[in-house]
Amino acid sequence: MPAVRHGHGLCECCAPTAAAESLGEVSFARSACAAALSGDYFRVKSLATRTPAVLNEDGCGGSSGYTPLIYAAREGHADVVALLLELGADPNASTTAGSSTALHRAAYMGHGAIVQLFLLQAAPQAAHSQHESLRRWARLKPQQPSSTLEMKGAQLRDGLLCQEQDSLPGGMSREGSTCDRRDAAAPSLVEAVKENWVGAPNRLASHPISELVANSGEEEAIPGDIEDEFEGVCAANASSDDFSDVGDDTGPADTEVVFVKEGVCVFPTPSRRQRIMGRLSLIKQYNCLFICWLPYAAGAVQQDVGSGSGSSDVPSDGGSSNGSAQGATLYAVHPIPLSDVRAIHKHTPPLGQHRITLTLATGVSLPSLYFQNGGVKAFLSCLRLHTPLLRSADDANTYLVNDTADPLQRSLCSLELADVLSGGPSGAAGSAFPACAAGSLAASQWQQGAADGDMGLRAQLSELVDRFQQLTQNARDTASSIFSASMLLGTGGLLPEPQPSMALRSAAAAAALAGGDGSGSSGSSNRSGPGAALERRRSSLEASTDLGVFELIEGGAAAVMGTAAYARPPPLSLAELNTFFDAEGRLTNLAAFKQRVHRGGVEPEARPEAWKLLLGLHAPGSTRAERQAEVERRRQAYQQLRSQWRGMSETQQARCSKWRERRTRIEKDVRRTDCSHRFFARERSQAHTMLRHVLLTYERYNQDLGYVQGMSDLASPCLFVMRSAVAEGGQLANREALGVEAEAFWCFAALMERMESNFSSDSRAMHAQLLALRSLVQLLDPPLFAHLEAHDCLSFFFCYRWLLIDFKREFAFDEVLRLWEALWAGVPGLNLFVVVAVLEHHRRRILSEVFEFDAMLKFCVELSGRLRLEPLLRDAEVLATYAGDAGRDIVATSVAALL
Amino acid sequence: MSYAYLFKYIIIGDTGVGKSCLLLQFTDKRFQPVHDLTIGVEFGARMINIDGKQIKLQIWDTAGQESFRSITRSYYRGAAGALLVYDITRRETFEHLASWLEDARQHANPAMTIMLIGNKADLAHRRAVTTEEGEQFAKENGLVFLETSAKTAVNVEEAFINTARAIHSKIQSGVFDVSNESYGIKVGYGAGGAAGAAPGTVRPGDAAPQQTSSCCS
Repeated sequence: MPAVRHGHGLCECCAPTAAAESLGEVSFARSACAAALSGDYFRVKSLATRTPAVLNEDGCGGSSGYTPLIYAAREGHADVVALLLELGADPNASTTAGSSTALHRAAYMGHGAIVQLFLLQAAPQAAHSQHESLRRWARLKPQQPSSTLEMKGAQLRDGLLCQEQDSLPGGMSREGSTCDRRDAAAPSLVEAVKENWVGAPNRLASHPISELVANSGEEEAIPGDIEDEFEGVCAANASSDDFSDVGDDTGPADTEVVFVKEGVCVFPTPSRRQRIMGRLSLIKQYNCLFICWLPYAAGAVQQDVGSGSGSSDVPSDGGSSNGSAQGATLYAVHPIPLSDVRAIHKHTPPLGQHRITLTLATGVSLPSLYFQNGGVKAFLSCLRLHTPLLRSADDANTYLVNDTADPLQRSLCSLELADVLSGGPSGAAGSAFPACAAGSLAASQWQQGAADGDMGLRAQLSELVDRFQQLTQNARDTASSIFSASMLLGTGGLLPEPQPSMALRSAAAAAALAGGDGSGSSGSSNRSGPGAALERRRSSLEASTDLGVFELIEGGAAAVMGTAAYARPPPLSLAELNTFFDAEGRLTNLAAFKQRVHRGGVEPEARPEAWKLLLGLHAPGSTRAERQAEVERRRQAYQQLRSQWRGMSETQQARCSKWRERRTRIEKDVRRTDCSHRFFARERSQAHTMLRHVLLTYERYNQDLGYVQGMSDLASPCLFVMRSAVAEGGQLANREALGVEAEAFWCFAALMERMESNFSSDSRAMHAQLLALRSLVQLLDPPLFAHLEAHDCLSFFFCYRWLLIDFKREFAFDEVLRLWEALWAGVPGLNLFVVVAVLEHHRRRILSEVFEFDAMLKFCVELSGRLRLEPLLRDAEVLATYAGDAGRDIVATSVAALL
Repeated sequence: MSYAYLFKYIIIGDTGVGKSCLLLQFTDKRFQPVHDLTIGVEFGARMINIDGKQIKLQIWDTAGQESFRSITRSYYRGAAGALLVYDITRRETFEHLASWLEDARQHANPAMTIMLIGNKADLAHRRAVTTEEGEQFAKENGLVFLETSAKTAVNVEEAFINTARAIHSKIQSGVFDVSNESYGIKVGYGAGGAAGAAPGTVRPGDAAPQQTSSCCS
């Protein structure tokens, strides 16, 4: 690739400048390889879908053998790797110079998630055929010196680099041939990887050491043709001027139920007099497996007279129940990602019922699930198809589910840090096992769980603990980040003893060091411009602590991105929603409900009900009957409000110019709302009429505010969701339409309670939010803040539309629904953190390309339709946690302005 | 793509006068009667040719409702040209011109070229503002005036290009200091612009600059 020589971006002289932009770089910048390198999912998708041949091109028209897959694997863009494999990229493609494959690269760079992807999903054959060389690659990274805690950062780096070189086999020098690398006989690929990857990070994560090496610019340490690969990084930075070739959205959620077993029950009491029947299922979503057990219906606690009969697997209504109805919901296992499960213990006595017990990564055991009519074996074999199950050496009945799960996450769990990473409140921490709150229990319970388990399991756990010792690297990062985080948050460099809260907060930063996802944090030294200069200055800061002197390796919020350590569960279904209600239909645990919605969103069929609860239309304590009555009451109230304008005579209207003007505007804007959405596509349809009615009625309801542009964007999703509660197809009868309109109106009104002041004529709330945003960026990412400040962008007006209508125009319609649910269910001010997350995701380009307000504005306007919701939500949450009390204070000021 | 200059335009005027349609007609040569209303600002670009020079127009299409005025004001900065649009079928949009003009004068640079546009000329049967009134207002305020139809494309090209021509002649006569970007003009490269290639830029087609290989070889 002679044309892009130098373009690795690792040294200052190679920072991308206009002068360096040669034709070769330009053509590389436009290639799928560049898109894969920078993790631009949509662009890769668009390019590869249009021209499948790009899957085998190196982006330079050469024969280097590089492919987009190799670039994406190396950079740790798991999503892009998955996409490319799905599109048929050849997993065996290898570079000409070094015969290394994408899997080699992923292993070398420490991208466990991608290695897993190859091992488990995509190309096991390919993986096996490559296993010998992979073994050598994989072992390069993790075995690192453990005594560097006291080292200065610079020494740390040097030490690692030396170690790195020491550990290279003879043939691994720059010109090394792969033959040399394949000398060792590997027993099996899985073991080879496991040996060094006692748990490959199962989310976007890369190894801290490889980050260091990649960022250090000392490519001497990078063996073989890896060095060559750094070419073209600059080119990847170059932006294309238009985004016209951006592909479509990712499409509907890829959710599949892979296993269902009916008649699996829980015995809530030791006496087994009662049982709760339910359905056990395994759900697969985006290659992530979830386990879920839901009781059949609220109150389905059965008296089991003939104990152990095991004959009845027919779900029964709650009629025979004399137990606490809400007991059933208490035991529901809402979808838990398999990554949160540590072990499954099976108990299959020759006589009596078979059962399994799940032990979570937190150490907590869930109540045993009894298979009334067998099926444990089938369950385990199904599970085995999707995730590696390792039979415990000590207890043949115990299976380790997650033996290759994220080691960092596990070690953090034992440090009480899970809560931070999962970001949610530890809702269910009070009792031993209700509601299966995924990963939020304290260490005491971890111990407790171990003690509660049987001996075999305990032995197993202690073995796991031993394995953690191999992960001292992660622990060191945790420690160092405690200090870096305290610096970042302005608490000064000295921290006499780490406060628990600080430790919690820092865990996210620690995880970040282990797992920059490439979108924001990778390659900080690649950046150019004043921001980078500042950053370099920052990175030379040292934090002096009791434990020694540390260099602050990576600063700012970028470091914590991509580190949420839980998988998103599938959306809340109607059946699952019902498990949150007691027999009378009261929502028993609002916080758990909100957390569930926040994590996974809501399925369309459950949305009308869930939205009314989230928006406060229904009181959580209300019974089903009360809510039914409320609906009727609201319908009447709406009808009355609507008649206020419907009943206006011509003469009356003629005397009310304000009303006429607003009415005209509403009528005009209703036709200009969500034009392309199928629901509104047909002009003058019933949907338009209903939307018009809702907005006109709101004008009467809130005459001080009236109608302001943007409100139709908020009303239309409300209408869409409430319309979905009524059977699809054709025109609604008048009465039905009135009902839908009424619910939509009250939903909209409740939403406006939150958003109203965004639309006030003095724009005070908008300015307060922009100001809060500015403070948050200052807090979370000082280099970015300095960059924006230097280029006159501190007004943050480029975020105006995002905040005004909560990203309504930035995402596809269905994604907006998901986003809003998450915002309503999340912490106050989460929308601000979503904005920060967007900026962080594009930090690198902002720092390297944006040097004036107009460019920033254009950049942000053009992000519309190109943002990816789930990573943003995840990172917004991480950022909110990371910002801690300081962040909460900032948000509080803007929230106060909103009220 | 190479260009001699880049001009920043801004389109302003009441809501619903057809600002977005004008932009779409100019950039894509099509009329889309129904499209989502503009919130904040949208953006479009097109290359034109004035006196043999390639000029890139970067056009900002703003939201019209008065509640967005404070945000719209922040977009004026650095605009070389403005299209001030009203709807000939709605008198109030004409009557609001004065306040728009005041905003523009206050927040834009004084040398900004403003074109007054009476849009929806195809709806002559519903006309509420005469051509003479438009001309009169333009004359009084030193603006250039055109009646356009985004629907039939009448005068749309002219509106944008005449504005560019006016800006270009101001450059030629030295009204603008093109090195000062607050005038909304950027000197591009290639195509033999008056100022030639800006230092530090490379024309596509030139040989790649010889790298000194001191750093990483």
